[in-house]
Amino acid sequence: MTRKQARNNHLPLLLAALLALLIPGATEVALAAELRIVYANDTLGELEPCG
Amino acid sequence: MGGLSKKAHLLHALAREGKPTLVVESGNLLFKTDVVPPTELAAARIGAAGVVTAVSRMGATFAGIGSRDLAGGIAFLRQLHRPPAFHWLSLNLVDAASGQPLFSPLLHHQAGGMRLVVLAVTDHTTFARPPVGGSVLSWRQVLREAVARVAGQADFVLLLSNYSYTENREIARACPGIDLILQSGHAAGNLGPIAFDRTLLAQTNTRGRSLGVLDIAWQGHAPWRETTAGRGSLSGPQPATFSNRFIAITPAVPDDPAIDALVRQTKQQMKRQAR
Repeated sequence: MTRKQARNNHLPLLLAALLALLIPGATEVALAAELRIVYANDTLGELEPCG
Repeated sequence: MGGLSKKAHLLHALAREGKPTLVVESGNLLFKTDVVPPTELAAARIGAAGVVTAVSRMGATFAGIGSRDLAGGIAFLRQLHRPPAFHWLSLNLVDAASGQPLFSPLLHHQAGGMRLVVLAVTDHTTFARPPVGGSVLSWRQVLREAVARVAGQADFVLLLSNYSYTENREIARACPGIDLILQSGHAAGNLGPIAFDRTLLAQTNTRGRSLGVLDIAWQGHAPWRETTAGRGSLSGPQPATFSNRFIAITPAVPDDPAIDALVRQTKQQMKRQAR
């Protein structure tokens, strides 16, 4: 990794930290929550493979 | 194909990816039809109880009430309503006399560092006669106010809707604050996700034949954008991004041994009852 690439990789984190310090509400913008929703519907009482 | 033991195997495999996960049963979990013939009811109830035990063991802690979930009667469904382990949810299925919800109207849930509120509505148009002891109100009488009440307390509002696509599009327009609608009862294969500005809508195929997997990177209530990367950027407006896939539950998917044993046991009990 070049020095320029390293700087570019860290820049968003530095900006996020700076925003969090200067603007309290900005942490919500900088930090995305991640969630996986595994969903199904209309199982219709099907216990076994239904063919 | 399909099958609960294969679904359990897939859920275990997904869990090994280590992402914070919410397992959702959107509705119509229990019975094939809105009305079960009296001669088949006892066996069908045994099967329904087995389904709830199985999905509980797979990590589900709630399900939306679809019209077919009431085929065994309200009293039977109340036996399967065991908060906090398992909630049956409906905002508009109410006691005929008091007008109060018969089950949990909504649920507060914490997942992936997010505060979620889960609501559910049962399709009132599918009932030729109201279920004994209950009444199913139109979503228009209850939903808008309920969403407005909870939207400020939650990072994410999930609605389990037993209504049709057309009605759900209207719900998304009329009830700002709903982030995701998972539909049941009107399935014609996998659907979506479809974004109506700030509300996303999806459903899976019927009879356990597929599993929806929705990965969300959440920045707060905002218009949705589909992505393969799963992240927004620091500059400019922050959309909520998602990626979705439907996993077909085919014969090639292995069975989870524990759920397979439970299914076999339940089937034996149903056979004994039917004799």
